[in-house]
Amino acid sequence: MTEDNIVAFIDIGSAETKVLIAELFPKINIVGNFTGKTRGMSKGEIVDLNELKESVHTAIHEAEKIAGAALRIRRACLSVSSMDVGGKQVSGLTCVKSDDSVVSKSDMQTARRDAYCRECPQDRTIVHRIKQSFVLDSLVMENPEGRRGSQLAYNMWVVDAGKKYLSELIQIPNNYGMRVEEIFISSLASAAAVATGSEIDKNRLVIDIGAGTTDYILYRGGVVWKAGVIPVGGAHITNDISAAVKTNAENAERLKKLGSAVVRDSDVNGDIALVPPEKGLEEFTEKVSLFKINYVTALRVYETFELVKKAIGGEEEASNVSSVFITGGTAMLKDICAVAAEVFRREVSVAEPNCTFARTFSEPKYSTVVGMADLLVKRRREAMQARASKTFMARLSSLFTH
Amino acid sequence: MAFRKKKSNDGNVVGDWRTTIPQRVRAGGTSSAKQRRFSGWANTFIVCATTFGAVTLFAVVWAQMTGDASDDGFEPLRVVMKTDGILDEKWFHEWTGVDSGSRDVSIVKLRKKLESYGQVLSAEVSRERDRSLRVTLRERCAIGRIQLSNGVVKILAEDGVIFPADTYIGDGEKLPLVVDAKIENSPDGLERAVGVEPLLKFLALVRQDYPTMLIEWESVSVKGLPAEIFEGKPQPWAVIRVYPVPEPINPAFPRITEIVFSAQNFSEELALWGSQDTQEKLERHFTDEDRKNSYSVQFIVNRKNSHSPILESRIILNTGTLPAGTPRNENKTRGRR
Repeated sequence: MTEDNIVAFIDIGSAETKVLIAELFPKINIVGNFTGKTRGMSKGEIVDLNELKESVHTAIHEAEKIAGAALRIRRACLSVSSMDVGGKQVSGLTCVKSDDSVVSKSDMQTARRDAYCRECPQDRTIVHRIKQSFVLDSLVMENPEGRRGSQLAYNMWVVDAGKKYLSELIQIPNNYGMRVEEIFISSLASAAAVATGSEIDKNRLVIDIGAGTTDYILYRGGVVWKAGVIPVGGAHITNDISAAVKTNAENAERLKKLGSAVVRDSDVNGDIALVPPEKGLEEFTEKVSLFKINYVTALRVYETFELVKKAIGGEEEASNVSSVFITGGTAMLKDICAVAAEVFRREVSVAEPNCTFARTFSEPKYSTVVGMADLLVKRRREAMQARASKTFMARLSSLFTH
Repeated sequence: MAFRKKKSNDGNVVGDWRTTIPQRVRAGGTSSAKQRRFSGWANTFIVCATTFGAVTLFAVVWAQMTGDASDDGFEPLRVVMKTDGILDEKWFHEWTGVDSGSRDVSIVKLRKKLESYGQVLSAEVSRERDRSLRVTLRERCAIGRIQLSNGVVKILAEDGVIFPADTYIGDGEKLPLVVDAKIENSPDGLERAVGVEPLLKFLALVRQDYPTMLIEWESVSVKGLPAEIFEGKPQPWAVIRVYPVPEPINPAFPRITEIVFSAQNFSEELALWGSQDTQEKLERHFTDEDRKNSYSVQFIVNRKNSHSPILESRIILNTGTLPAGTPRNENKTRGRR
């Protein structure tokens, strides 16, 4: 097990930190995992860096103990999900240079380079550049080589994040003796974990509802079209319940897990104990209406989906979506799909990680961390193939080209 | 947030988090990180300590084995000598000058002195708790005699080393004399016969498997045995010539004055020679006139049937002058019994 081959995947959520330690080659093998409570983070924002470090380091340490590979893990992968993470479509433009207006490889490279040269503001840094498509005279295509046209554009989705936020986040594994190899936005990782491999993947909307934030990613024609974060999550439902039934957050969290369903029908009857009842004193325990809890939950979930719908571009974009997948810890709420279907008017399902290497991590809350492992392996394979395909002559010619 | 275009047009990773955010990997700050760093140090310390301990232990054991640690001033109360050969304590005292009560006995020097004697293959010298000196010798196995240019006859061991015949009180006289061998001084101070590896193997095999045959041979010549080897084997035409001891049995009997063995296939030829009674054949089939002549024996491979070649011996009449190394008493004949 070499240092490069074993990586810790760290998903620092607002409520829980999930750590997965895996060997990557020849096939992904999860050797350690731990899920611990996160402290020092609220709604995706770092509120106490030292507290956060302590809690994340404890989680990594526990996972290392399970893996039995302490001190050999030198690489880490991080997921980011915060309001500090943003995205924008960036285009690189060029004119087709040949006399007969036929697009050459050189034109494609020029357009690509033009897109890559776009800098983000001083206080921000780029996390991902995701290729979308080429546009030749407003005609979208995968490969324009050999086609005729005058203006070629290269579109890509650029994900950026605040430098301060990202450097603080990177500092956490760094201070544990790990170098960050890759950073993935949560929505991209979750989408990779729950991909079905079928045609519906091409125009899907994946919504990862966590405790503090909701990440969404929209695919169009198989490429990432939009991705973003909304600062609403499961913790808001807990707060709402807490306010509605006038109880503390701990009890509200219990009520959310035990009783809440995302329905607004008035025919839901029954009560639920406000606090855990003592044995023999069930009759004397204060109870709250189940309908009330469900109603509060449904309102918040409905609002969350409405926000996502608005973020992806409203009714017009939503109508192009083939299906909606909901994942993340809050996806476990009962009947959440019904509300999503009402909002998006599409087939909605709760998606669980379906990667073969992570059969024991099939809960929706593990989507991000499992997806990160899957994405990293794909990236490494692509890099290896690129290196292998670049022959000696190609390298030699590239020297002269540049 | 507005993306603006960078003026230079060369970067593929403009503004990438890898270039804009430097990583300073150093464990510390939290209790878990400190624990990890500490366990890292602890592991390094354990590895270093284990290595140091192993090296020290090895050095101590080595020093004890070689006895180099406290050699000087050792006075053995008695000497206990064991050997797998014929050297005795008398020789030990004469050669080394060490005796019970000797002073300043250096075990290392003593071992080197013992191993400088050609007959000694290896020597182990150790001090015992009761202040006795234990000497264990392994001796070389003698396979022949060899005469130096000054006429002195020495003993040839199976590894080519030559040692004095004075202390070889065994069957030294019965060993065949190796003639025409080249002798050199090797870097370890011992004399060695060089370029005679096939002969050494040949004589070692005869000594082990055909000891009675060995005492019937007076001399062995390596004149036909070139030192050069071909693909790890002697040259195909290389031969070892053996001259049997002449015995005064019956002047009318035919004589075998030379046996020629191939340097490559001598093991098969020896087996064939050991199983035949050639002398009886000579006496039975030859006429009286034939019996007055001398003969040499050679081995050939009969390839009439190419699938199963047969090794055969041929008795050839000696004509003209006899080859070098012929038995000294030509009037004598001998018979193989």
